[in-house]
Amino acid sequence: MQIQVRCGCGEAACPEWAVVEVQGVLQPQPCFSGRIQGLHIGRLCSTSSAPTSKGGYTFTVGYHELAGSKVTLKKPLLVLRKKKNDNGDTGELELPARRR
Amino acid sequence: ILLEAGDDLLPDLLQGRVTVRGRPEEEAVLCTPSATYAMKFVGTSNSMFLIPPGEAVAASLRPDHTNEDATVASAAAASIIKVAPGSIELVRTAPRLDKLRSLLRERPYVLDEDLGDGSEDKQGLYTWQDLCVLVQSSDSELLEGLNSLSAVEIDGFWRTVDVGSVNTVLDMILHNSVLHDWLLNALPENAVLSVMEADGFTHKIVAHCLSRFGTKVEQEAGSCWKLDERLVCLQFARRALAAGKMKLNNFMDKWERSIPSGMRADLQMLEGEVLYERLGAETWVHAFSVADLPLTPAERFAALFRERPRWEWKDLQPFIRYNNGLACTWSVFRRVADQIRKKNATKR
Repeated sequence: MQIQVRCGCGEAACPEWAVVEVQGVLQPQPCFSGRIQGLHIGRLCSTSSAPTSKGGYTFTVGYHELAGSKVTLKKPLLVLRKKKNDNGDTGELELPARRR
Repeated sequence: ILLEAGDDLLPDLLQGRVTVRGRPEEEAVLCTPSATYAMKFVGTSNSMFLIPPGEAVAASLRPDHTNEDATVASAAAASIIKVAPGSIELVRTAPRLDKLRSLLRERPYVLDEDLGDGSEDKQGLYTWQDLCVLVQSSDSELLEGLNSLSAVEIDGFWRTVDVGSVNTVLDMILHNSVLHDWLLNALPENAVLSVMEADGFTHKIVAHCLSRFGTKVEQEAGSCWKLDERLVCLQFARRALAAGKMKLNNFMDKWERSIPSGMRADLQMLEGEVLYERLGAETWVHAFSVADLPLTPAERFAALFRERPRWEWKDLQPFIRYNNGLACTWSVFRRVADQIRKKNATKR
């Protein structure tokens, strides 16, 4: 079978996403399990005065304060979504965006 | 799903020229128009929060229940839609063309065949679209694979041509060239096609044989075909060996007597097509073609060592030479083999 990979937005207009990568796993408090839509996770702050790339950042989640930096990815990452065709035999992967 | 792709792949990806190919039971490959990539999922223990662009939405729920405070909610908030468990990495790989060969050998084209009209009669016949779905290869590598199998598209189906039929057409071309005084290095295309058609051979199959055994030369008077001495003699050698192994002397006699006059038989032409063995005081020869061997390295070596448990380097070399899409693997093998050889040579 063949699955077509399609970009929904055209080469020039592909919006960029951001990624926040942390080590480990974030878990909601038990009282929020099953209702995490719209839940506040944490606060991301830049520690340098000018918002340049490679600046320092802190991500505060609950009482954890994580230190990090803004990094440009070595290779572009694309976000794909599977989409089934009407006939169900072949699917399509859509790229809503790419990111750096 | 996250896919990691090099910058060189972006234009093809963003302009819809990429497909993922494979059957559910196979490992998927990603194909651009000219290259094939294995897809490997690489997990991560980190949490990767994906944040699409868009309007900042203020969080409606806070763990400490202070969402009623309007001044706090004025800070910009980004929405995370998903945590990615990892990403797919792409590794350039050889196209999986062994399957192409076995598909096309299901039903080789035979002269004067009658395919029938029913759909069940189309069993073992494959169109280009069928092959794109069944074979895990990029389009241009698939085409190269078809050319290396000397396949021809007849009535929309890609076919290999049965050996007997190829020999019949070739014989007829040679026979007619004697009858009509055509030069074998300048066969006049139009004359050949029309004479062969009168003898009952379609243009398609004659043109296919001309391109299989020769090269086209454009001249003022029209197109001509120059037959390649090696390719023609090789075909006669294969025919001579069709019955099985022969003593080398007998084979040379038979071969030399069968080739068209004006052509010279030379054992160099048979490199990668035959194997020799010494049995007692005699040398025997039998057909063993590199074109029949599997394309993937592990399977090719298995086939070679099944044929013979020990190989001299000079005998092995023609059977592991570069072929489509495997250059990187073969060059690694050759480098390693060279190192082993040099080490053994200096040891002695």
